[in-house]
Amino acid sequence: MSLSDELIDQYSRQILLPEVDYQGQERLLQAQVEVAGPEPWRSWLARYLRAAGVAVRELTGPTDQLTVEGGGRRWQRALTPGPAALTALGYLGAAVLLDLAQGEGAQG
Amino acid sequence: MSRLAVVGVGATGGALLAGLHALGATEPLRLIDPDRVERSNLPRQPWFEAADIGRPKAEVMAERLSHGYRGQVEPAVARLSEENCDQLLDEVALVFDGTDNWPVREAIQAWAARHQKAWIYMSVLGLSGMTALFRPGEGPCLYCLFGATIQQGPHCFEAGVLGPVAAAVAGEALDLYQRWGSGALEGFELRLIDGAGGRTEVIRGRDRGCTHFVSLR
Repeated sequence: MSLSDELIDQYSRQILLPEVDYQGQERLLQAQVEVAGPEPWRSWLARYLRAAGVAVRELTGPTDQLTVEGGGRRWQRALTPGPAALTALGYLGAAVLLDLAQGEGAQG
Repeated sequence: MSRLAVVGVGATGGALLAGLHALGATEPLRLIDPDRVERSNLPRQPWFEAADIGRPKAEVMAERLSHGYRGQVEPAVARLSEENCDQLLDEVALVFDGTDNWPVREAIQAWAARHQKAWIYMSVLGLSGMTALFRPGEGPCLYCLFGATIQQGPHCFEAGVLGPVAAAVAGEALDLYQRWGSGALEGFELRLIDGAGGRTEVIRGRDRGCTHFVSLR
């Protein structure tokens, strides 16, 4: 696939990152994952992943961790109450996006 | 209840507000941002939607918070400056710096020194971020850390940024805020957010005596 000018504008801050780049953004736009965990953190993680270009399905899941599965890989992060949950969500979202952009766990 | 100001409701400021909302905070909020939502904001500011493009960020964010946030929320579509900060930050107990604009950050710091108020610095670029709570008269100031002649560094439109890293920065900033509020924050901490490694490094500072704002003490 090639990205339209509008998509390049939309994802430009990610495409600028050497760890993502144009090819990585193409991979993100083709990626599909399932996100599970307690609210409101699950929804926020799903929002970040969708906003980065990933197709996301939300599932109910354990209350003490956030998990993401897709492309033959699984990511997870324990959640503790309070602001640390937002930090954990951020780190988990970054790891998922970087791995998906770099084609980790996917074929080809 | 102490009023909080969030200056810049983009990647870090917006994530911080989402965090306050999620944690059930009740503090009155003032959201200060002159910018309008752009398409390139959407990947790292996922509380905005394509339909918001062109609308003032502060107003859209106040609308989003009106669904469920338990405190009062006031938007101000304005660029904070040395000239208007006393007015825009009137009755504010603590400022969260969510801007990527160095002069605005300096205006917040000068305001904090004049009024002896605390403020929380947040920044994100690429896969890394930083946050620290500054208290005038106690510990270092921004100039002690980065030098008094520092100029604007690269913006995200030059170096790129990954959205969830800003959420990690906001989480650490909220943790500093809560610990400060409960009196549990001892000494100065600079928290370095490593989005690639998924971990936070805490650098603790000794009070060597800030000389930049000495005349205001």
